[in-house]
Amino acid sequence: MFGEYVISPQVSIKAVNNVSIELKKNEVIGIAGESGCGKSTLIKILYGFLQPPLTASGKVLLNTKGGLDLLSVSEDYKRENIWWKIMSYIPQNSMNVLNPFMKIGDHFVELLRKHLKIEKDEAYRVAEEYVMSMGMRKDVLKAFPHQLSGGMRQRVVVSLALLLKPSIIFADEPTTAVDVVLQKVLLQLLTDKQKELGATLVVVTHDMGVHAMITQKVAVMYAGRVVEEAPTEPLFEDPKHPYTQALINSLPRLGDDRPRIGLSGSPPDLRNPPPGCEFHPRCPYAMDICRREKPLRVKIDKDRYVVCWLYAKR
Amino acid sequence: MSTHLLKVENVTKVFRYGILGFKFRAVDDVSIVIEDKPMIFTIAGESGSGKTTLAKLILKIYRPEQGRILFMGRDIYRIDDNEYHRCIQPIMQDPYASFNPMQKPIRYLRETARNIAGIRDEKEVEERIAKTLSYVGLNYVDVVNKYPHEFSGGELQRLAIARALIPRPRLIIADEPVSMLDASLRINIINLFKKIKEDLGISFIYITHDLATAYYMSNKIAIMFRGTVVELGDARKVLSNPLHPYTQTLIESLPEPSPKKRRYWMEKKIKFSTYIEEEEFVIKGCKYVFRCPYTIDKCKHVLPPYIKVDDTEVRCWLYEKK
Repeated sequence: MFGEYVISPQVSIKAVNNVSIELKKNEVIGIAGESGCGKSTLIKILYGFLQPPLTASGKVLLNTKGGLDLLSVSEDYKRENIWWKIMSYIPQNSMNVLNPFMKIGDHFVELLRKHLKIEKDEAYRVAEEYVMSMGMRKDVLKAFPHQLSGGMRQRVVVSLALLLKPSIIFADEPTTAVDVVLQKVLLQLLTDKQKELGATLVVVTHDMGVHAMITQKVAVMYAGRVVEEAPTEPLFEDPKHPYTQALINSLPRLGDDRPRIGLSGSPPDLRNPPPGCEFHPRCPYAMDICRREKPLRVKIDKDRYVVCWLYAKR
Repeated sequence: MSTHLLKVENVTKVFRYGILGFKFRAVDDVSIVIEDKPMIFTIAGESGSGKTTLAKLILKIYRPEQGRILFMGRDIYRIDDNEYHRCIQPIMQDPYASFNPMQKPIRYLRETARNIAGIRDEKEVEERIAKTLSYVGLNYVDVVNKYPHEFSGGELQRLAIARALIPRPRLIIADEPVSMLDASLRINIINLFKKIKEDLGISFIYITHDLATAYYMSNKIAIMFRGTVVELGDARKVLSNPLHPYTQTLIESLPEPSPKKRRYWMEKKIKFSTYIEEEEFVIKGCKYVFRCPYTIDKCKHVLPPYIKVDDTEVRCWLYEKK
């Protein structure tokens, strides 16, 4: 699929460029890469959440609905039948997405009434039971968002997203603004529920540590393209793409004091991407061909793909 | 002369929730010493542990209710503000919020050079700025005509570092300087801190919740929890052999970039219940009792003193000498 931000007839940004991805049942998939590489845009397209200036082309096919193409149906249809029920989305900064004028309970009641067509009292009872099953006291329902700590608010948002037992959960940087202890609590909550529901969880984060701890498969994105795709363990043991190598090797680890070097520079401006492989200006192995031609996707092993001239068969 | 660069002695800062609300000690009887030699001193802990409040106390943004802070043997409230800020400089967490979006960052560098570093000659101001910029890896010509939105987060953070370096301070307080940056760019900023420490002999107080970077760069570490320092010592020692149960939890929560450790990470669950935050602040005894797996009756009533184990100081009754 392709995703493009059309800012004016002259300027558009290809934030997602020819990406194909398959989400399997009961799987945790990670999407890695720096900010500005198109990770969040990819998630928005997969979720079918297209608001101007974002436009998309290609197909997002949903198996549970008999191969329905999400990009071809109306927003009302998605609102009624797909969002929250089949797919749910935990946005970035999730601690600040609750309506500050609504009690936590009303957030739950509204969703339950809309989708299950039940009465208010009953919805409230369901919500009470549900928040307790998510490890919270039932009196959080009576609180306004500002009365809860950031960590609690995030738990509420995660609980809302899982309320209608969706089969696909998208989490966009679910833990960037929280400290390590809370991060672990939230990630464990998410993965526990994912297993319980047998759902697919798609986690977007630039933190390779999180990918190593919870995902089964990782797609590494750079400048709108997936540059490497692999099961998590082999990816970390033997990263192929120079970009993946840099992402993993730049991380300091406890008990290891070898000096580490990060990537220099930043991802390219997508209004005007460099010719050839987009990564060549930052790549330590850049060759002539990298500056001229786009590399092709090469299969390295079972389920392992890399887009880099270093691995092209000659 | 004193052998301490900075000495924080039994400092307490009390905040109040609302007008009549309950009081809590955001920083509670904290003492730390930064010796007069180039070093990186890390203050680590989760959000709400009081680490930023402590930094603000040192920067004279808050005034402590109890205790005192000495800089080179002098009470910081006896030192003239200008002189003090020439010696101690901050770097803040959010590089996008550090600079006014309507003004060119170069203006801040010039103001710092004139007002804080006290350079009068305009030519000298520009020279100092150009030199400092090239030291942090930026180019004067690229910076001079740009607004904040034209820089990336990493570049803005480098500008903030350059600004802090212009007065040639003795100590830089860096409050979560890399948590807003991409993981791949963090290490560059951290390497820059190490280089500044070694080349220029400037000490750092590095405030963070990321223990991996703390291990990589720091000499000493203080672990804070709900306003108290629970463990204090050599960074390598504390992080490879953590004594306090809270330090152990912090280390266990760290996601490591090696999938082999996943099982261990997943199996160690963290006790975390709701509404315990307020209770944690007001309890008389050890503030970690609600989450600690080793709680005994004594912990609930009496705050443990600093107990020395080897060279590390730890506030936990588990290490009480019988």
